[in-house]
Amino acid sequence: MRYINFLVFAMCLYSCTKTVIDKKTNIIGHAAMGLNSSSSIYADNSLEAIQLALSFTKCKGVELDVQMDNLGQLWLYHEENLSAKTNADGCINTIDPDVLSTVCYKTIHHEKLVKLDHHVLEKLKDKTVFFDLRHFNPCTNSIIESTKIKNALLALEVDSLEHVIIITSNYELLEILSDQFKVFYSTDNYAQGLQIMFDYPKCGGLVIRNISITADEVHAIQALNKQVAIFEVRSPKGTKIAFNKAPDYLITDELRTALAIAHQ
Amino acid sequence: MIRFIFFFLLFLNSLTSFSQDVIHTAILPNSMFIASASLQRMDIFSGFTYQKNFNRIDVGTSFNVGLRSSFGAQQLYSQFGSYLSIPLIQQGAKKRDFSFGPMIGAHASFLNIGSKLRQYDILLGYSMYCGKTKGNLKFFHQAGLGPFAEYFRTSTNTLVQSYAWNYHLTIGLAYAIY
Repeated sequence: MRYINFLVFAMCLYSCTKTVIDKKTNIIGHAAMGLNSSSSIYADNSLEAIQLALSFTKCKGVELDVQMDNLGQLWLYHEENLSAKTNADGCINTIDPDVLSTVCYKTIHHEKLVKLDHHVLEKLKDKTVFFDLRHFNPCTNSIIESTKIKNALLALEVDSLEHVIIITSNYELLEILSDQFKVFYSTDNYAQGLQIMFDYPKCGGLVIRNISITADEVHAIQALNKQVAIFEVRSPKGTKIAFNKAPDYLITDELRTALAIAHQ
Repeated sequence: MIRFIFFFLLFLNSLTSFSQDVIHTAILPNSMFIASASLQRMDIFSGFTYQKNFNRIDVGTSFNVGLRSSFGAQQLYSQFGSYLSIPLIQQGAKKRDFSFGPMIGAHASFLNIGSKLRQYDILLGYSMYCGKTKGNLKFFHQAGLGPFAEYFRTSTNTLVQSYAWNYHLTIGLAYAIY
């Protein structure tokens, strides 16, 4: 009987415990509504998913994956090969924009592959947008020239947008872009990320997996006047842990879950 | 769309036409209380269902909460639903051991994440239960697929509507009252 009373008491205590959330953390949708999330409704990086994510009151922005085609135009797509999620085959880096403009996702909505142009940027202008630059061409096993990527971004006048953050894991891109863009370095290794903050003073911050950084390490980066974006956040437990680290940005794969926790 | 209407009409036809009268001789549970868990597109829901038999049709009403949102994210994700099912196939002594038939259901779910989400779905699927003839406890299972709609208003009061397909995969424990 005493054990049952204790159990009921413990359950009451647990049910009354609310997670304290740092309200300064900006919630960002990974690939718009979450990468490979069943609750996302629309395909990753699609215009429909972007519009839906940005419609949520407390969603501050989206993270989008950017790849360059063979003529230097930019497209939003996460996977290496188009066949993974669309009705086309091959790598974006080796395909003409005319062909890419006909590509659709293999979902029930058949969303079109999104070309990053002024029309899309107009929809993103008041929100925080992370552009994760894919600098590697998996079909030819080659690195894409950094100047080409920079020129493509400049042609779109991305540098004039206030809330755009470029993500890269390439030193050369970091160096070449950080003069004109706000650039975050992406790594799985905290020590390496910390070193980059010292080596590249113009680097604006760090993008790192939730499991690869502790709360103290987040604060250490922030103490350098840099920002931290945590990604690979999906479960409610993982999301709470990430919130408790008080990063500047939380790039979540379950946007509704993160917004629900933040709404407490 | 035409294919969907065709299968829907085919399903409706199955509700009204019988090749043989299997129900008449059965002693079906008058009602059932069911505790269940349901895997759906948006969350895993758990809750209670009350099912009552009206002549040849089982009618159920349910209340569920989304576990990830309600307990994980501590934001109540409530779901109200109801369904009709026709126990077409019945097996065992007094035909109580096993029951299976088509099911049509509808659900409404509500979640506040800063934006107040309203979600509605309609399901077509099947409903079944099985258990010992003399026992009151039975294993309960439902599965269905159907259209899903989500509505909410933005901070500028614009209505956002999105549509998708939803699925329900439900298992539960039923207490049958004869």
